[in-house]
Amino acid sequence: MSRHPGRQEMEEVLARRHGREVQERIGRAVVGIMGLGGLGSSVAVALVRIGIGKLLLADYDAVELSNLNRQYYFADQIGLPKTVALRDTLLRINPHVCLETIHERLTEERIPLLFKGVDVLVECFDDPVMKPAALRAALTGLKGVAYVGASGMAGFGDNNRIVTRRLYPRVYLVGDEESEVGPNQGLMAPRVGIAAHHQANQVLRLLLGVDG
Amino acid sequence: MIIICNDEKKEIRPGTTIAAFLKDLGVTPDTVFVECNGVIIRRDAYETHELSEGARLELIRFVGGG
Repeated sequence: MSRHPGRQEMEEVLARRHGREVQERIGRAVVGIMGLGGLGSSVAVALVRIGIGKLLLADYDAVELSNLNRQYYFADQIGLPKTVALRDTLLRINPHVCLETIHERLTEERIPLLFKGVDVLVECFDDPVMKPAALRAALTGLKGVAYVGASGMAGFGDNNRIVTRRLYPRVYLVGDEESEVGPNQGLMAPRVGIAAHHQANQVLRLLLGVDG
Repeated sequence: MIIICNDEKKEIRPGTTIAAFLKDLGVTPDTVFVECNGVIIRRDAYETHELSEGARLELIRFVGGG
């Protein structure tokens, strides 16, 4: 078995590839991810790959077979809490990343308490009731925290209808805002992945100060 | 009476609450983020908050999936 690269070695490789100043900012950043489904699991993987400093990962659910069509889990992880399964995967990408897991069903009231102090909060819920609740919680209870939500990415509609829209300064919404999960329109890896990576790139832009 | 909803003029009856207005639009109030005259409205106020003449509503309707 090959040895793990050391922390310094990994940081050096990232800095050379991304630029030293950019990497320092990414490495200092703390990001909260609410919901570890198709969006949240892919956002987390993207952020860990670029050397994010710390992630707070929140979900109450366990990995199911039906998740594997789009979520960043593996068949041998079925039955594990998503927080545990995703932590294992992320540590395989970077054994030195700092991860905190929150295994609970989030509520509007709990969000400001749990995510105080993060640089960016990412809303990756499946439930359409929790999406506006999380936005309210962030805007009223987490002043100064940047925010990236999502709405509308089911099915196999046009790639380019998934957009990143600015709602308020440092508050963004990703998706087509229409394509709802339904009996004839399931969530599928390709389009959910487009939305997740819009979210991840928006997080990066916020961390680097490109968008305020 | 007239209100402005997402930059569009809408005719409503006096006394219309946010919840009633959303139901008339055919959307589930629980899935909508509401700002009225620049103030974020708590979910538990949708049933009691009556829209006043010229109110400026900003709605963001969320759909499920993630």
